[in-house]
Amino acid sequence: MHVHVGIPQAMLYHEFGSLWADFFRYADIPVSISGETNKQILDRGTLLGIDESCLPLKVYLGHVDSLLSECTHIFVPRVVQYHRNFLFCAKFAGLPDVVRNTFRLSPEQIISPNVEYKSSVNQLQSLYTTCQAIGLSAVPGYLAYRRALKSWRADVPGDIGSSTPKIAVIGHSYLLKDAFFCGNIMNFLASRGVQVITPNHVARKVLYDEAKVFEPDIYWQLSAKIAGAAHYFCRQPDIAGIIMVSSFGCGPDSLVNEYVEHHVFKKSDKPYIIINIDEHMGSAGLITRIEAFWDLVEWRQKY
Amino acid sequence: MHVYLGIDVGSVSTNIAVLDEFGKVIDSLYIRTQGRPIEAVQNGLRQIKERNPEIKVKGVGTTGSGRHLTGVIVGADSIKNEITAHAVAAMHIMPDVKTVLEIGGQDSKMIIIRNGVVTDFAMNTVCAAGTGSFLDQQAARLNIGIEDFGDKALESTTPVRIAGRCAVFAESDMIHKQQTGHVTSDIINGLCQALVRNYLNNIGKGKQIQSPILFQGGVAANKGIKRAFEEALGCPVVVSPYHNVMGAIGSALLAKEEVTQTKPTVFRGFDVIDFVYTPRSFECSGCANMCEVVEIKMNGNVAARWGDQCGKWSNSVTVA
Repeated sequence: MHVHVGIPQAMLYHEFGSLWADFFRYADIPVSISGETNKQILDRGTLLGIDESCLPLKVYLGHVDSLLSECTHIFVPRVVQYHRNFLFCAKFAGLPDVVRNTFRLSPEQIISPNVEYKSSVNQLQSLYTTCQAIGLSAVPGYLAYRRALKSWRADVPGDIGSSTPKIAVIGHSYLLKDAFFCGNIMNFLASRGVQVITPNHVARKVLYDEAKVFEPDIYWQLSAKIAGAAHYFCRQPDIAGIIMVSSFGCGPDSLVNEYVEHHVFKKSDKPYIIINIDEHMGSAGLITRIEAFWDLVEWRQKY
Repeated sequence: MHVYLGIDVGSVSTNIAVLDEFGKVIDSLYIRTQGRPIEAVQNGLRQIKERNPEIKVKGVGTTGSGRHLTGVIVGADSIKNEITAHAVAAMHIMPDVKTVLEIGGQDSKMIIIRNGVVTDFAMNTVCAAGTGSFLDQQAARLNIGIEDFGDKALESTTPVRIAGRCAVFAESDMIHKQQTGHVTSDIINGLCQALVRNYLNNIGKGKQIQSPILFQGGVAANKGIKRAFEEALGCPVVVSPYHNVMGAIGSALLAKEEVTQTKPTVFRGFDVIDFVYTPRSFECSGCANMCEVVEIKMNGNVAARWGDQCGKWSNSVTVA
């Protein structure tokens, strides 16, 4: 059976991407990662997605679209729960179905293991589903998974050093790590010699522990990371300001960001700004706000 | 006389302020951009030069949505965003200011200042409901000069409630009120109140609006809006004497800071009035991002390019 797996470089790829890609590589399965988001991918995704879906989902569909010509299988895991206390936004659970119906793919063309809860049994089940889909036998599949998991876990965030000033940029990793969304912000800060710290620089456990202070519990896992990061960064003396990035149409963000603004940011004395990204990528307004925000931060440090 | 120039190129108006070395406003100019920012700047500088033939420019600052373009054209020492420029100007005019309300042609912002430091700001997002352009449009529709709009609102005796959430709805609501027989002045006053309500709900959401409050931007000339603000906030609102050129004043002050700290000005001189600037734009086909690159030629030579994400075009120009 000829197999060539494609992984869209979007959404949860930015959380688990190296684990997934390494698994296929270690199992000697040809694998392609879609390129970085560009305007063409965004335009395709906007056309393919339904109006109401969030921007990252549209972009995800654009990435899938760019893989279809070369790949036989698309890897779209169904992620429901990965952490004991939190769940994922429903769009991650429905993702394989969205992809299958959008592109009218047959079920065989999609590799969609169910990640439903954090247990070794579930991991083995998911692994088995994946191996079945690509005709890989269980033992080499298991060994490849073990190897990939080990290197993924070893990939802990490095210390970014203590040179001041530092700006924390908080948001979903699929926004922060995608240069198409946040490149403008990151480039601007870099041009001013500012060091940027993101939730990815903080150990995952720290973020989840920080999120425990919130009442009621935060339902979504990725939002818990964001809220935990906000709570954590607000207490760090070397953080000069916080930029919170959110995408238009994100349901969890619309609740959690308001909550974080009122209960975390306003209670701390850190300067902060909330930036909403949409598909009308007029960078002028974005840069104006980031520039003004940086002026404000510098001003405060001077006086 | 040594002066600092501030140029604010906005969507609707292009403003120039001339400040002396002590930060006193010597001259200012407010002209319409009319979609041609380069010509507007050249025109403005020509008028400034004619009115003040003896000035020697020590520094130039630009701000507004056309700040980068203008910075290249005139040779600017400081190119700063309009939020910072407005804050600097507000503190210069009223040192103890705590809240700045600013409504311009297509944007509106609120700046919160405490002890001489900007602590928070907000700016309208994609929606331009309640900014100067919309007022302009409604004044034209009702056949009232925009200068008389405020006075007309003050004549109102009976409140009329207009939905201000969206410019399109506001317009249809106004038409509905006019067709049912309400007096024009009441409708205009209702519109002023609606805009203020919309501004405070959107921009002012969660902000600590404390007096002294300074109101600036082109719309500050509108007495109806000023009164609506005072009614809604329950405290006096001061309109800056230079309300429509505050951005320019701020950028002149920023330029002053820039040149004293570092180096002599990079101003190209008043010769730029007669330079030939040819802008053009093209879509880069280097990658799938298809960036729209803008190129400005000055007297036939490429002076600047921008708009590309990767820097392929903008980095290839050394003249700034």
